[in-house]
Amino acid sequence: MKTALDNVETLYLRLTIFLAALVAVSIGLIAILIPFNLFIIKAGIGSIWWLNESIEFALFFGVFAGAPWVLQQGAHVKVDIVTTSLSPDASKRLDGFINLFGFALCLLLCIYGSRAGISEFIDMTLPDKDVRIPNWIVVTFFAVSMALLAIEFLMRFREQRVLKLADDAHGSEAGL
Amino acid sequence: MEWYLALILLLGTVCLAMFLGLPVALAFFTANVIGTFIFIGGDIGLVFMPMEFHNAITFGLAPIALFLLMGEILLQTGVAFKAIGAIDRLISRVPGRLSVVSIVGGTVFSSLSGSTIANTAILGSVLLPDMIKRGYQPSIAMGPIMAVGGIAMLIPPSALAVLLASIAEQSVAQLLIAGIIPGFLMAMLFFAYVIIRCTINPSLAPSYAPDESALELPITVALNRKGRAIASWTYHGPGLKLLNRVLPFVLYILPLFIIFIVVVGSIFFKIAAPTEAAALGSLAAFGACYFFRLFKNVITITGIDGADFTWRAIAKALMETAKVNTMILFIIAGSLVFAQALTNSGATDGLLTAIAALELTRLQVVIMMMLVLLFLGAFMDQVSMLLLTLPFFLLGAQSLQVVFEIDVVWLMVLMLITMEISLLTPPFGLLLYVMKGIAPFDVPIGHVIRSAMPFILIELFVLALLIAMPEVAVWLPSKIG
Repeated sequence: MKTALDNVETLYLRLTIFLAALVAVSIGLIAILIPFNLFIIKAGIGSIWWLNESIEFALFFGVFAGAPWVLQQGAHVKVDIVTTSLSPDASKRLDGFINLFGFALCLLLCIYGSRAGISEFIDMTLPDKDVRIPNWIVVTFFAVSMALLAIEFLMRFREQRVLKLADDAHGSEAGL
Repeated sequence: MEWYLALILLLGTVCLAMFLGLPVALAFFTANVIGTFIFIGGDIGLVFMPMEFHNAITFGLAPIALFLLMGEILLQTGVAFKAIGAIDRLISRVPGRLSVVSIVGGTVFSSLSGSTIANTAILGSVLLPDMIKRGYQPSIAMGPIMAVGGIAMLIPPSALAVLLASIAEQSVAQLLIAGIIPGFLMAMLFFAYVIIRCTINPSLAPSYAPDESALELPITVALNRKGRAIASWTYHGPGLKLLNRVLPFVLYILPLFIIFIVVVGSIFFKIAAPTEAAALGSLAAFGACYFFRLFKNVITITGIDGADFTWRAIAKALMETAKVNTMILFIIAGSLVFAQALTNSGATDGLLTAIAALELTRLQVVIMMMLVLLFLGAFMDQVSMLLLTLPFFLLGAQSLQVVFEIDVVWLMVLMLITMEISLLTPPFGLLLYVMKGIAPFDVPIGHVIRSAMPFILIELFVLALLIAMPEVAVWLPSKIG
């Protein structure tokens, strides 16, 4: 039976996939708009003045929007020099520790991101650019991404615990 | 705090977190938190840190996604596989035929894709099963595929070259152009090695008569509408065999070269900046794949399958690009803030001053840098090792490159070659594991490593050659000023 936590997980998964799809769309748009801009510049029609800075913002938002999904896919680069040389049990324990550590780190960054967001909101600071997305939006996005990453690490830890409990239960049955 | 203690603390934190299995980007983030707290204003420094991540992501990094997208479009629409099939048909009887096909195919695909992993995975999945079926020894089957897979790092479009040049705030265009001659030189040496080795020891790659029955078939070209041929023309005159051999090359490979010409030509002739060239390349890849769709239904030609161009394939290509691009930029964001922490702690200056005090020659410094990269490459992925060493090697006025007045394009090419070598060096060369993963049989990693060894030696030879003769790398970029 599905628990409330499972429903939250499903929602979370949908959200991360939706964000990843937005990142993919943004890359597609970049691939179309840059040549279009080049064409209108060469044709002397004008230029999309906001394009380069918007792409910078898109890349930044894209990285932090996509990071939780990439973690979910196990696609963040890892150096598994230690984990592969450990026994399966020790490796699982280390994985569990790393998931908890990742959770704590992302939570800490989320807290500082939120504090930065509040500070930037109070000061209403703007970037030194032509495309002026307020800084508080930028850092709040960072904080949200870190919160999602923290949830992902927590889910991985939980999943590991559930698997371990299932393993233990299976082991005791086998023992009987 | 003394500079060496700061260095040990920061580098030690990154390495410890990495080796314990934390994603590399977050290993950098961990060191950033510690470095920022201790060396950049404590609690307040940490509040300002998120904005530093924003500042690290610049427009100059956009080509990475676009070069990755080019390769993904060709991969997901199946055009890459058709291109390798066309090369397979073109190459007739040579010693180690399929290994030669892998080298030629890999070099062609390197000029269309910025991804070494995609290159190796495509060649391995297409050619390796056939090689093994025909009795090729693993040493001559796997080695060339892995070696040529890495060439994508040198021949433009190269995502890693863009990353290196844009972070080092150097000319992306010059570095992309500089990789061409060393890349093709390496491919030619691989080619020569396979031919010589298989001539001396034919049992490595038993010769066989390729199935050429299809070459005798008459060529029928039909124009179809709503699934019915409205016009058709059949040729069965003289030169049919040659025509059947060359036709897939003409239809699949030549249109793809437009992509290479668009990217390299627009940079070389200063029509477009690297980011624009990369975007044009993506559109050209899209256009080429759409063009190949014509041969699926509208125009049917005997022996030509066309491509499975669908919007679903394009969506998959975009999602895969988003995944790899996010992974790379996430590490970049972490590492650039890390570089700041290193600088603020005094570790960067301290180390560079200590190296300068050793009174080494320029050549000794270059060799030392390459040795450091080769060592790190045995344990780390390319992006991580690059970003870990850049603050010392290339970034800023106190870097080794500036202090020892090393030609920056030359140094970056040497770094790319070293990173290419490290894709194959044990124990953790990335392509060794890609190959093990795609091999159609259970091959011990030791065999994979042994098969890569001759090619590592060839790459080291090219590295030594470029150290001795910098002109090989810097001549072509000097032509674009």
